[in-house]
Amino acid sequence: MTDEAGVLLRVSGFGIVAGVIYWFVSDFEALGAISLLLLGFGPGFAGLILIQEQRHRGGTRESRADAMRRFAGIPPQDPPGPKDLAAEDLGVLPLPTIWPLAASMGVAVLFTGLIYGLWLVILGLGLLVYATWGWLAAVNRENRYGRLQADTEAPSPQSGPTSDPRPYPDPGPPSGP
Amino acid sequence: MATTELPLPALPEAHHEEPGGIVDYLTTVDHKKIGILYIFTAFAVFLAGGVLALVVRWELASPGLQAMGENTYNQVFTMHGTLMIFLFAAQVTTGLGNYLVPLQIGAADVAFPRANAMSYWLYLFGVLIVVSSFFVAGGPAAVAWTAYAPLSTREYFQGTGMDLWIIGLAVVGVAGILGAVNLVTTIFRMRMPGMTMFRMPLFTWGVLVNQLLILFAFPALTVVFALLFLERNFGAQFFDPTYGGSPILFQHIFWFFGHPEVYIIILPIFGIINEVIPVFSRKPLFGYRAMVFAFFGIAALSFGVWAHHMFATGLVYLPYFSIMSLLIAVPTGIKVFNWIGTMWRGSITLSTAMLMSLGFIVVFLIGGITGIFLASPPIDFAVNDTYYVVAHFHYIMVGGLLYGMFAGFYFWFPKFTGRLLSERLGRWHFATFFIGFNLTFFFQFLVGLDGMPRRIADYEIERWTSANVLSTVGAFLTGVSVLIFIWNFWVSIRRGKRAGDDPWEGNSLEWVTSSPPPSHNFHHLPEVHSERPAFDYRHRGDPELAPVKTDPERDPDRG
Repeated sequence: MTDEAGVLLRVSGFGIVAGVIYWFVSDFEALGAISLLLLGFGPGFAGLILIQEQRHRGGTRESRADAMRRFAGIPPQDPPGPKDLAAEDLGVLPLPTIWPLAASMGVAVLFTGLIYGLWLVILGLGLLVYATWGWLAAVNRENRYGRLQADTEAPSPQSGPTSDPRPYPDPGPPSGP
Repeated sequence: MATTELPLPALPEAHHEEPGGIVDYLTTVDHKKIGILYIFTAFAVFLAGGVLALVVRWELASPGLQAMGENTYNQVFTMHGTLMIFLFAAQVTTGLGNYLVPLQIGAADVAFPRANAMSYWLYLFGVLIVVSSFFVAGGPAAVAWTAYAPLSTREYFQGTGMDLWIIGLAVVGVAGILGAVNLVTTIFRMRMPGMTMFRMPLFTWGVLVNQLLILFAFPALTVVFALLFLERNFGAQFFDPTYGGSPILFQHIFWFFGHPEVYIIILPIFGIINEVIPVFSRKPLFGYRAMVFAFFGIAALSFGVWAHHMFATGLVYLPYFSIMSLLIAVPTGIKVFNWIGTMWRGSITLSTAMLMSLGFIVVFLIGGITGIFLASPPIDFAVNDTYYVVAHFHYIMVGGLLYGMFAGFYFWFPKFTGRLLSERLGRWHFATFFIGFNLTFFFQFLVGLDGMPRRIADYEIERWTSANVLSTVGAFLTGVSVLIFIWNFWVSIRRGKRAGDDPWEGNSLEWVTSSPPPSHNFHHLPEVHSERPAFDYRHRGDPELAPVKTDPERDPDRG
């Protein structure tokens, strides 16, 4: 189990235990008990997803020796850190874009329309849809650019956090032989 | 303890980038620029909220109505609380987290940079919607920051200002949830190799726990505002007992958000203090793991104490909430103990950041201990809704937050700008702030114990006047201290001393990159073998100070 999943499952355990105790000691007060149980199930669900994902990626379970080491406070194996990022492809960072601002404006206008009238709701919704469309188009353009780069350049041997040579979804199997 | 003088390794050459123009900031998806936008917006909100606080203090300086009527007074203190709690306190730490977390974990950016930009713009639009309520007929909300129903329903408050208040805060709530998903994913998924969870800097831990709290608490806020909005505008009846509703329902849901909100605000501040004190004590943090578990202890318990705000309703189970509230003192006490343990026999440098951290410990202790009294129902019944509660609350929220925030600003300003804030002005800032703050709020404990109720525009009991005058003088002195800080910022950003990349000899990864960092954060990253990678990097040639590395060939389990 990863530390991340462990964190979420511990929070989950607290929520469930506190919810059950509260349910009994508060003479079956429903709202608080449900809130605490939701606090338990929400992070628990996220933690289980992380465990599931780790298994799908083929992550190995913690060995007994690793567990003993962890309890003794000895650091786990250190994967080497990247040494030099200067020559790496930095194009994986997204380009500046106006669409998050436009989409937020759409949400704000839409919400304000709930006070002032349907026309404002429609205006906000239109702006939101337009901004979402622009946003997705921009992402799509950057993905195509990224794929082109990844297909034409050899992967860097010094891969690090910013250097995944195929940072975007794989375009699928090649059509030719 | 004296530090060993070693030749500093050649750190990456400073990479100074010119600040971008308006279009650059409007379209940016860079976490650092978004962090700066958050911080500037939140600070502007803080100034507006501060001016409203001075108006409140002006009104209360002497008996009688001086400057405004009672309804205006209600609007002023409501908007003061709203701006400070919802729109400043929880957001300024999000700004710091945005800027610093990717740097501290060795990432190039956050997990979802565009969504990060959207979080900020939603926050800004939420602020604008709330502030726009000043300009509508009837003025802004006048129901306190808690907006208890039925006081906030249309039957008692008709103005559009209340609706704008609800909608604005709902938009900010959406921004908070979006931002929390982003930062939690960043911390879980984008740490550099070697940066295990238990090697993360404690500021990053504070932000992680803070964002998890936002993720679980903000939906409750959004729900309760949705219910209130439906009741006000679409004829729903959730809180009106004559139609089968319950006003207590509002309080339950609101405080299920409201109490964790205190920790949403304060946990990143704990993280800042955890970063500052070891650096200026020249010692590793005492009890790193205990600090992490204390974060989680506080966060978990904060969800179990919501109804201690409702003791006086008589409709909650007192022993459960009293015990849970008292228990929060345990992890908090661990933190204070560990900070003192870190300073113990350290080589302490009293920089402004360190002074602010020490100030934080003092005021937070006072706030925390007075809070323990409030966790006891008999005492709570006696002082409920008095200035005792106001004083306790401000010692925690204002004292805790502002001292930590200013400590963080003085500590990381060189990283943000490449220049140092003036230490001379910083000491004036600290001195005026410490005296002004305590003058403002300490005497409120006394008038509170004497029974002075909060949220009143006027009082007729003469013996409360002197304490109120002192409070008002203290508030204006605090205002002066903030002006000193702004002057310091203005002067230092133009003519401040060049800081270099690592002026404090810090512990975490942000100190191994240039000041300010390049757009992709790092030209070079050291290997991480402990929770102090920058320290290890600086002392990598020293066998006594460098971390012990296990040889994989002699330890087959590691291979």
